[in-house]
Amino acid sequence: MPPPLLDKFDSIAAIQRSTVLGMLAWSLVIGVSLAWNVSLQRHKTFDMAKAEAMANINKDFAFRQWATSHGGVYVPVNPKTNTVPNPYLEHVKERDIQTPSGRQLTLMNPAYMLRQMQQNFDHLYGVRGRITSLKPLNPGNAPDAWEARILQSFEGGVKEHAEITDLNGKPYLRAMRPFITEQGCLKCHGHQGYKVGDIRGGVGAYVKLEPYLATEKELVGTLTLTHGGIWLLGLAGIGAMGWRGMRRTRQSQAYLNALQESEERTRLLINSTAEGIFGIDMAGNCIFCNQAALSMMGILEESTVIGQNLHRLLYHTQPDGTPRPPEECRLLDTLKNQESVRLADELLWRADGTSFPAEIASYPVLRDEAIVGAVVSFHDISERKHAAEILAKRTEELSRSNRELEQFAYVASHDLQEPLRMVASYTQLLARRYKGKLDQDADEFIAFAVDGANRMQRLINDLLTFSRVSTRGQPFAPTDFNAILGEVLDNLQIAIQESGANVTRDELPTLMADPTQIAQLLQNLIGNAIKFHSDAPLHIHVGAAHSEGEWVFSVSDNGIGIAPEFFERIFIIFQRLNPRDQYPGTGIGLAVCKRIIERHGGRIWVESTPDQGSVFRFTLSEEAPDEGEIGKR
Amino acid sequence: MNPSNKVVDILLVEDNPGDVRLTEEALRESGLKVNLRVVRDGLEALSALRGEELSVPPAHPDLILLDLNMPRMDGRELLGIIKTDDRLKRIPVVVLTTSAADQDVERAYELHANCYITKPVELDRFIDIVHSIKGFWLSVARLPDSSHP
Repeated sequence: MPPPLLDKFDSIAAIQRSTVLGMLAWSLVIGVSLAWNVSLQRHKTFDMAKAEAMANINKDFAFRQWATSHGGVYVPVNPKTNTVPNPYLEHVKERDIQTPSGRQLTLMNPAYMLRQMQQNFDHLYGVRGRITSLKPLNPGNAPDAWEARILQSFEGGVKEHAEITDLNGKPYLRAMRPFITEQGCLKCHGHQGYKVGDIRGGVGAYVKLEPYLATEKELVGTLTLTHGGIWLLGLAGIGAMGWRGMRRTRQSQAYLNALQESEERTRLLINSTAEGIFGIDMAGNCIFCNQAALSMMGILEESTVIGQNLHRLLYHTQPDGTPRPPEECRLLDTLKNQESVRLADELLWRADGTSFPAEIASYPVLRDEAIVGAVVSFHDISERKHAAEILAKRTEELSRSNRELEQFAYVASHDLQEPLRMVASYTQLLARRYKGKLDQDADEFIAFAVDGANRMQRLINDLLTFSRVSTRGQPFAPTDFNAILGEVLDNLQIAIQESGANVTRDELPTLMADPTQIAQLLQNLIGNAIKFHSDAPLHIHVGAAHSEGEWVFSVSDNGIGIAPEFFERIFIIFQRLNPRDQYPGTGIGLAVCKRIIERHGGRIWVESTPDQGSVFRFTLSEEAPDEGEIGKR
Repeated sequence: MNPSNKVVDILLVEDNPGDVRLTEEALRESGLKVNLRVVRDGLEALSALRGEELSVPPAHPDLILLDLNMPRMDGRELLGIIKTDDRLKRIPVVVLTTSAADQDVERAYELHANCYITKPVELDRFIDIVHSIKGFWLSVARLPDSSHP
């Protein structure tokens, strides 16, 4: 049993594993990509918010710078818009002034300006701004905890800060930048101990993150969808590949199974046959050997045979004991000239030194029209030879017996002739000479004797005729049956005329036969038809029909017919169905016909209905009958 | 010329006494005056023809009826001798035998038999044939003068 080939293929489980792993890896890749993209997006959101915040801050800065560069800006007092003199600037000279027309103007410091703008108009740009300081003049500008922390960090040198925090439950980006004390600031804040270059405080902006987050969410959504889509596609692709792989493996497995099954079956077949089969390679060595071959050679193990040279195994010695050189091994001829070799009767040798006769043949094995080895098959013909010998002996005995019988019949009837002739002749002479001269008893006695002698003569003649069918049978020659029939009808002319018979005929063929015997045959059959007529006007027909390589002849009449129980008997020698005084004849005619037909290798039989008529049919083959020993009956 | 009242000498060479008698009876029935001399085989025939037996006069038959199968010397041998003997070869020889074999017929004519007849099995036919022998050979055909040696 060869090892299973399944190891060579990935098993289904392995493919499943790889598929799952592949899917996982894919998912991981997609996940990582998504995460990275999402984080990128988050960063972008942050950066954008921050940028917006910073833009605002810078704007605020710029505004402040501008205001600071002017040292503040005088604006009309307007309590309706909450534009009132800044209480925290009381220390500032000329905080309030009056226009020549009497309008009250007050100084707005940068912070105040910014604040007012921020408070009143930030809805226009949506970002809340805030100025704060660790030492605010306006307590309303005091920092909250977060701002204080950041301001502290500014003191530490941090240049800007941005952070996402929650304010009142909503996400905001808070950013802050420190603003540096400048010369113009000292006007209002100098008394706080600031020097130019000190951190005065921070300008902050709160950017509502919700819109950004909404955009981000949208983008992330799209990203997710896209990634999801690609992921699914990827999964599908991997899944499909995996499935294909599994299917291919399953198919291969199925093919392999079928192959193995087929191989098993072939092996079973080869090992079940009674014929010994070898496969040999171009060197004449065995590459394969079936069970029958092993047992015929008396070897148990296939392995002892494989690789051995076939000639040396089986065919090494000739029947007379002398070794046979390998160059003369006819089996290996097949390898040389690519033709099959058949040897009908060769002596093969077993492992134990005994031999057996075998019929052996070798056939070339061709692949792409080149010979690659040969198949040698043989079987033990000892039984067959034995049977053939027995058959030959029996046949010989039978032939001899036949010949002796024929000789005996011939000699007996021939030698019987002479004394019979004496008896017949003298009784006839007696009848001639003394009829009416002796008393009536004597006449009767003589009549019986004569009748007996005559009949015996006829019987012996018929017996001679019968045996001469074989002993005087002529070789077969092309015989025109029409011509023979013509002769026979001529011979029977008187009888035909007397019986008033109407004879019709078909066209008859020309076949290989013994013309004399065919004439005898036809004469007997037609003679019978004439003899056994009924009261109806006699009609006789001779016909011939061709069917499947043989001719079926018929002689039919409308005479007295034959009862079915006698269909076989009438062909037996001397069997009569009618009393002697009704119909003459010894009953040999049909027996002679049968013997003639059998010599020609055909069959003869009758179909008949009593009182209606009979049809005698006989067959003759198209090909020349075999004139072997048995045929010469 | 055979005058019808001249007695005809016939030598019958036949070993079967039954056949001899039948031939005699048949000849008698034919009404011919025949002087039938019978010998049993070839040797006796030769002896008779050559007059070798002193107590018996030599035979000068007008016709020899010859059977083929006989002991000591059969008809074929005798035929051969007769037909090569200057003195005897002129005598007409009718082979009268049971054999119907073609080769016997051929052989007989080869040996210069004048005629070959197969004896029929039925008596009546045999009688007819003997009649016809007589009718042909002894009436129609002319025979050589047997008195000349």
